[in-house]
Amino acid sequence: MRRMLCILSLFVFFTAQIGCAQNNPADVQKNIKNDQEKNTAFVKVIKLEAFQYGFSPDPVIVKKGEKVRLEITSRDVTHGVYIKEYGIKETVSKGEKKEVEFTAEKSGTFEIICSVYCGSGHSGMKGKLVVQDDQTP
Amino acid sequence: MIKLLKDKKNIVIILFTLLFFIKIPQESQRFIFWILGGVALACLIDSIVGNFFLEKKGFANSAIISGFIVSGILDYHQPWYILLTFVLAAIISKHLLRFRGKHIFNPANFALFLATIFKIPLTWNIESNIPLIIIFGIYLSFTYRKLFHILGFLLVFLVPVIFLKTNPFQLVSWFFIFIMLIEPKTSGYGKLRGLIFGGICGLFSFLFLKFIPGVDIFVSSLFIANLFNPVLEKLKS
Repeated sequence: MRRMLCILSLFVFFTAQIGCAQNNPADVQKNIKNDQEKNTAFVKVIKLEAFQYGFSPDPVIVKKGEKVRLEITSRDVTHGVYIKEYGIKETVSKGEKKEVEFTAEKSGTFEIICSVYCGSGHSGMKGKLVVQDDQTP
Repeated sequence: MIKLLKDKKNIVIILFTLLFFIKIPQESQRFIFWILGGVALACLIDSIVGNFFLEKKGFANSAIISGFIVSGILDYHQPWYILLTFVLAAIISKHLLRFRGKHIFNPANFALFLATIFKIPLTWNIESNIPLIIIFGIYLSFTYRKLFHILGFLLVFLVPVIFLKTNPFQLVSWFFIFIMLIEPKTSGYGKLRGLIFGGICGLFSFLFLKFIPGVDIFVSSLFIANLFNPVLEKLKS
């Protein structure tokens, strides 16, 4: 009985914690749609290729406030593209093309990491997203 | 010293410590706190559970190993409560999810499976030096008598992957094969059981790779292989 209670409370704890932490995909989609409606005039398109064990181009450089569309492909095996600060989490297999749109609202340098195990160099597969301020030369 | 090395768990801990130090120069300071935090939390939770529920004092060496694996594979940029949650899941699963007195699931893998289900990135930072993992791994698999587990996995996973026009040796996780797959208490013993257990893991790794590549293929396949443990136990008896 005590064991069952423990399992049950653990399950509830998990669901609550993780549920709160994740971005609701519907909200993300809604935000993207709203952003698209606000500014359809200019979208910077960047073809981001993932490969064992890196990204091309690296770094990805955009200006603050720019609307960016990442067209993500894979050169070899399945990779994940994860940029924590922008809530970007996408999986792409060889032969596929995934598109992600976002507005570069936060300036700085952010890590792009591979979130899907892709081979023995997976832990070192990193890239950079650089969002430059207007003042940045 | 020799007495220390007689316990294979201590050898695993030494390997993890080396892998941890090798990775430090490539990562930020947060990585150090993340790994140490994971190990400390695992020991703390294990001793609390032991004291309150099982009337055991202290923590088991396996808690250190679970702490290293969970924190070493989870992305260390995640919030701290993610680390706490999944270390807790690993230790609790070890004490609660049992069949005939033994835990069914590899504790760390159970937690990481939950993480992959919730789409938490698994970056496998602990897999920082492949030759070292292979050297220690061959020794451990030989002394634990788990070579057939590895053979079963490699046969079933590598052969079909070749047909996907991918170099299977570039895709396979040696840390998974030599550390997680052969975890002594949840992978069983014996040639046939080893081949079957490894084969199930290899088969599901391939199927996940082909059809659901978004999940972590190794963690998910080991979770499924662990589900077969009650059946495999009966086969043995």
